[in-house]
Amino acid sequence: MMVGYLLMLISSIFFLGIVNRIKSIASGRKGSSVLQPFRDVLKLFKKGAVYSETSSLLFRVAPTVAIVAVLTSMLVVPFAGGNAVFSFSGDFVFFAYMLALGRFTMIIAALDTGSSFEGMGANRETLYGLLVEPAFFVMMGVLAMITGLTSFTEIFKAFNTIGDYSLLLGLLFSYLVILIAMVENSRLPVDDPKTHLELTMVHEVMILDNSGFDLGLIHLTTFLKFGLYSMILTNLLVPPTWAIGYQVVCFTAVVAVFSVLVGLLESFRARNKMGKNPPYLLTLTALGLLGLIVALLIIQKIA
Amino acid sequence: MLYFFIISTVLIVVMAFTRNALFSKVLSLLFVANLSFLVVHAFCKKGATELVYFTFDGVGVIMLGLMLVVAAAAYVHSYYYLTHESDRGIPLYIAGLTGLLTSLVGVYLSNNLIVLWVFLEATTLTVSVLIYHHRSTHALEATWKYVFVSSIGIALAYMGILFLGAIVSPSDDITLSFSSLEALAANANPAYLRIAFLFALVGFSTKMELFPMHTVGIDANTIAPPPISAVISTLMVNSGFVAIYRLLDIVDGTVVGQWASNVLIFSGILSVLIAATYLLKSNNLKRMLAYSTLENMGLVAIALGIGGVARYAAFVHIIAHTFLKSALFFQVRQVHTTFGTYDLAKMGGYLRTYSAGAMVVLLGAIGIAAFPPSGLFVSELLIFKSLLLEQRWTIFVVTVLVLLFCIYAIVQKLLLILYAKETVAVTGVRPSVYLSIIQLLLVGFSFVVFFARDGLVLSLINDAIK
Amino acid sequence: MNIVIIVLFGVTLMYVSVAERFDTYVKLVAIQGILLFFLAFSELSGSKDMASLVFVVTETLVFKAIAVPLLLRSIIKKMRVAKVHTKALPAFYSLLLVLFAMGVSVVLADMLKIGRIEKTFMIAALFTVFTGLILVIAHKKIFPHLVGFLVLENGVFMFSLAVGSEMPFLVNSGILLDLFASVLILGLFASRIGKRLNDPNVEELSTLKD
Repeated sequence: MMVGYLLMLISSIFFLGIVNRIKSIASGRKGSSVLQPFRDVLKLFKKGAVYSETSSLLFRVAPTVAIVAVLTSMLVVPFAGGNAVFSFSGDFVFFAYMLALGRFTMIIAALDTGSSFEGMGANRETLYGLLVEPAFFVMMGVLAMITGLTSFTEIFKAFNTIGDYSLLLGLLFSYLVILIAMVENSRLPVDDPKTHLELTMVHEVMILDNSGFDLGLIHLTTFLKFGLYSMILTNLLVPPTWAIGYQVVCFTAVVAVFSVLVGLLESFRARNKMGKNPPYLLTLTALGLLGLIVALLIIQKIA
Repeated sequence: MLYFFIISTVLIVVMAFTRNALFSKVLSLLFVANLSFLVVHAFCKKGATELVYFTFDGVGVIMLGLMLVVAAAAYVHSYYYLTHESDRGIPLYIAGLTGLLTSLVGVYLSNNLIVLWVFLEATTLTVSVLIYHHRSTHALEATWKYVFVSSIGIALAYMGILFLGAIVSPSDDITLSFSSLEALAANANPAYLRIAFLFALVGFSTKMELFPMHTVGIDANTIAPPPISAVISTLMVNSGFVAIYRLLDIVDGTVVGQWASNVLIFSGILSVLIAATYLLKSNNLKRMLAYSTLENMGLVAIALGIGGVARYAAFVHIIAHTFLKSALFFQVRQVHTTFGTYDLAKMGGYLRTYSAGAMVVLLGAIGIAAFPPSGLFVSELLIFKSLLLEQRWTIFVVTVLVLLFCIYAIVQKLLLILYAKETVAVTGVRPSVYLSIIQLLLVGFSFVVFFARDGLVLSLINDAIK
Repeated sequence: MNIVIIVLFGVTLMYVSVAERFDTYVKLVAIQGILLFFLAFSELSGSKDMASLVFVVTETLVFKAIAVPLLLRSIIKKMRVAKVHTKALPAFYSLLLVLFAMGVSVVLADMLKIGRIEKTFMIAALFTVFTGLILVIAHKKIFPHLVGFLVLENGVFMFSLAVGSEMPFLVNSGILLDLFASVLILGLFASRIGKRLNDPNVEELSTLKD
């Protein structure tokens, strides 16, 4: 249904604005308006892009591919127990790998510029993407195992109604999704978006050479990904049998809470030492495995 | 039994506050008298149960008798050590020693798994006080390691006990006494019994100095004062032996019995192997004797694992080893008095310097090497005989080979003390001849075991392995 | 309700295996104490023995949740170091080991299928015991060893709750173990070693070697 798709698009406009506002308030400032990041993107759209002479066609195409990948993967995420725009068996794999395709093109484009900073950022981004992937797949695998179905739409239709402890599993996986979202969007504690030292950047340094329209597209990709993960969160937490009006309200509430949470987490958490990131990411997979055991207990494969 | 505990507790409390050496000696004499009363009482009332949790069975009586002999010698040696060589902290030492002996009595005689475990904890507590006697950094290190690893072992043993407790059904009012556990084990889930046995074995191996947790005993023996090392190496490993033996009794008739015996044999072989490695390398006299205890306990574990007549051999081995090892450890202090060091490379010419002590070392070396007329000869012969009868060729070959290395190492190093040329100046202090006579007596006891054909002790052993 | 507490307990175990600062260890141990308090309460509230229920529950709350973290904090203040040594097993591998231990405890609990102990308890208790042992093995400083021992204790306690709900005697002796261990080890450590050795690196405690 298009309602879900439209909701994701709309929420992405406000998400990062709320995060920045919360961060400012937490530091004691008033902060910019909630629409400011979106206005910045619109301003970037009006500018022309400058391309380095050492880069090739790949560099010019990459941001477009990235945003198209995210928009496409948004097509398979359902809303409110209804159908997604497309759904087919195994579409969560499609989802994960569309996002990965977007990330891959960005990485290749960063290597294409020939700058050593961007190569370093690409290197790190690859590692963190690699480590976060098992966490996502374990989570989806557990959900597929419990419900016995393999499509996002059908899984979320059946999820919250399968037993007393599905709320527990939902909470555990929401925690996991929040952490995965923060890693995928290059937020703290893996990567600090506000740092201006290139040696410490991961994602920001990959996009150093992009400008104008391309940069606007890349920022928009990040916004969209946040909206996407909020939708997944709503699906995990809210039972699919509630009325659609309720669902919209819940979605808005989830977006608000999620963005406030991200803002607070960013304000009060320092960024990890680079060497500590792999264990941190492995913790995510560990949480997923814990969810696996809880799921096995629920469906009584063990005990 | 109740009187024994009451009197002991009173004595311990009084000893903890007595600074006067003479008064302490009187109190320890009282304790030894108390203990001998208990031994006589236990022997007369064989098979009886007192205070619900304590039974005077064959195993307990044997161990009590051994304890009486070694404890008396330990007290005498301790007083010489404390007053002639280092007179710090008499009260704490003597109170700790008495506390240790009382807890050991509790371990030997208890017929309930939880009570046994509580008393083993008490032994850990009292022994750590004694190991820390010197208060040096070395002693602190050894005490810390000992307390820490023992506590881990005790916690693991407790897990094992909990698993055993799980097979007791709640409707009947059955406690964790050994007899009732034996009855229940026949119908219990084998997986539970296996895990319980494994956990409990690992936990109790801290006390009996078996692989995997043998390291605590080694370090403790190296640092503790020699009379305490003697008590640790003999009486405390006996308590570990009692715990493991009772555990084996529980699982014996069940389907897990064969598996448990194999686990014991495996653990025993590894212990002997590790002991052989370190014996060849070792340069410190006390450490070497500690590794020799490890080796002997490995042999006892193998004997328990083989079963049958080898169980009889295990008990004989324990008895002979107790006497021999205590004599050797007591002698170690006199060696130190003569040479001022425990370093084997520096000692020599003991035969010329102090012949009485040298005799003890010589006879002790013969005993540990299991030459006839040592009691260890009898037990090892029986062990090898039953290995051959059961046609377990690999174990036999491995054990013989490893034992060869052990014996070579010990005998060579002990004889070096006697005959080599010493590289350090001999201190002029003359050790006490009376103590050496006591040690010779102890060695003599272990030789008596060789000649015993029948009699009191053997009937007790037969009673114990029934 | 129990399963929620056990899942939270599992989460704390995973964080304990990657923790680097001693403060984190103390916080996690305190959280585990509180969780065990709730667990003891819910597990023993069905039994008829009021006195032992009160005893066990008070002991858990006072000792595990309050006294032990306070003792640990005072130890940290006396020591000069506050972080795990870099030569210890890296957090990545110890977390992998802990995950493997989780798998092993699930398999083991499956083998012990027949029994009156709830499977969830068995898995959680075995997992905790293994994590405690891994902590002891993977680190070189004394403080993580202490924390590993405390985690081991928690596992044993959880197990005794599972078994001993019908046999309060067992639970009581488990409490005895707890008191003995905490008082003796932590007290000894806090009073003696903290003063004596300035850098409590276990590598320094290796003079007793061959």
